[in-house]
This record gives sequence, structure tokens and C-alpha cells, in this order.
Amino acid sequence: MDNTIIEVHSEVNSLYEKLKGRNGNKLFAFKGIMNDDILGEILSRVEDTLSEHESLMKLQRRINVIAVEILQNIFHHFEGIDSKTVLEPPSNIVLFLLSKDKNAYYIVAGNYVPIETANFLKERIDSINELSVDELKKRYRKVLSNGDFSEQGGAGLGIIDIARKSGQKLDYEFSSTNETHSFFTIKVSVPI
Amino acid sequence: MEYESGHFLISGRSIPENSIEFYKPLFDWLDEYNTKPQDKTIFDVRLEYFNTSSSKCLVEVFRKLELLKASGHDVEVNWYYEEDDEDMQESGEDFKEVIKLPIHMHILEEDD
Repeated sequence: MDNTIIEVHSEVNSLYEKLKGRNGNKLFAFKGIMNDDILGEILSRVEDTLSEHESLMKLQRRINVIAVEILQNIFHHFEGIDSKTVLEPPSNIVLFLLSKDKNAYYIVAGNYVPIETANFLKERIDSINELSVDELKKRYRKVLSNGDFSEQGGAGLGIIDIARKSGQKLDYEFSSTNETHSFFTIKVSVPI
Repeated sequence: MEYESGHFLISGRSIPENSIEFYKPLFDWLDEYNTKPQDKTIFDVRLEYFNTSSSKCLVEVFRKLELLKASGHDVEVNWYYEEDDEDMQESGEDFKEVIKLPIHMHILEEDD
């Protein structure tokens, strides 16, 4: 293992340990390398966990679909970002946490993104956080009807959909930033 | 999908990461269908939930049906959702707003 890998793993490890104790009771937690199989595995574990802990089907579905959007759109293919920016190992490491307190479920997910992606995500989320419920609906419908879903700088549906379904402002953080990469963490609350 | 009755249905969960690949057989089938459509076409959507990647493909399906309707054929869409599922209800209303087709909203009964 070269030094970069050790460094990456230790940074993510300490962040993971820190986040694990937050946001109520931990229901499911994952830290490790991301690929298609693991993405599928995380989603199926989230689904099992929810069917065990949540009796309301509509809430189960809402959280499942938010988990899908976060993992597929934001992390895996970086909505609106050229695929060449997808990370090579050793930085292809993600953390994913599902927890619950008396008010809400929380999904916290994070991974390394190139600096350009970080800036793009920050602008995108900030602009979506400024919108009211009605404006979010209008924005979503506009993008849906344009069919222009993935162009960079376009509105991209994934984050809007997460914001609509959560009904809350999206919380995010960038840490461990160096010249090329930053560790991006997003927290989505889903009120009970 | 049933050619003879002009009736087709999509149901369950639609969360493929690469939706375009996943939906391609349906697109192809519809393109073929549109060359020799029935007088009346009915599309039932009984989805539990779907990702935004699938919503792009649903728009594509609806656009093909819009063409059919514009050429003088009868096209109807039925959108089913469970009574308390505001997310699926809202999604149906989103499509109703942006698609030029009659989209009827239906609440699913317990035994459906």
C-alpha cells in the first residue's frame, strides 16, 4: 500500500467515526470502495433496514429513492460532469450512513470529488437551497419538459428531486481539500 | 405490452442506473408499434417508485405517444398511486403538466 492510499483511508476513517455517532441511532453504515455491485448492495441493505424499522410504506419508498439518487447521480456518475472525472482508486472510497431520531431519518454520504466537481456541486446545491417548495416544483418540471437533463450548468434532476422529497435544505461539507480533490459529504434529512 | 389490445403497462420499481439501455427495448417496441398502431392506445403506469434517470425515459415514452396522438390516434395514460403516497401523486402531476396527453390519476385500491 503506498502512502496515498494510507492517507486516504485514514482521512475517511476519522470522518466516518466522527459522523457515525451523530444524527440519532445508526441503522446502517458502510465505508469502502465503490463500484456497481457495492452500489447495489448498499441499496438493498438500505431497503431491508427500512422495511424492518419503518412501517409507513411511503416513507420507506421516499428514503429508498433518495438513497438511489444520492448514490447513482451525485457519487457514481456525477450528474452533469464528464465521465473522465470519475475517480481512480485509491480515491474511489465512499461512506454511507443511515440513521434515525424521533424527528427524522438521515442519510449522510460522502466521497472524494475532483475540485471542479466540488465547485460545481457547491453552486448547484446552493442554488437549489434558495428555492421555495413551489419554485422547486417549477424548476423540476422545466428540466423534465426540456429533456435537457445532463448538460453541465443545466439544472439536473437528481439534486432537485432529493430536495423536493426531503422538503429540507440540503446540508453539505467539503473537507480534506488539496490541490486536486476534496472529500464531499452530503446530509439529507427526511422528516418522519 | 400487447400489440392486439393496444394496451401496455409499466409497473414495480424503476431504478436502473443506465436507464436508456434498460428502456431501449421499450423504445424500439414503441417505434415499431407507431408504424402500425391500434385505434386506441392505453398506457398504464403503476410504478412504486423510480429514479430521475427513469423519468427521462418516461418522458421519451410519452413523447412517442404524443406523436401518435398528434397523428390522430386515440391515446390515454393511466397513472396509479397509493392513496397516501404524495411522491407518486406529485410525479404524476409533474408529467400531466409537461406532457400533452390525457393523463388520468387513479388511487390504487388495497387489493389492486
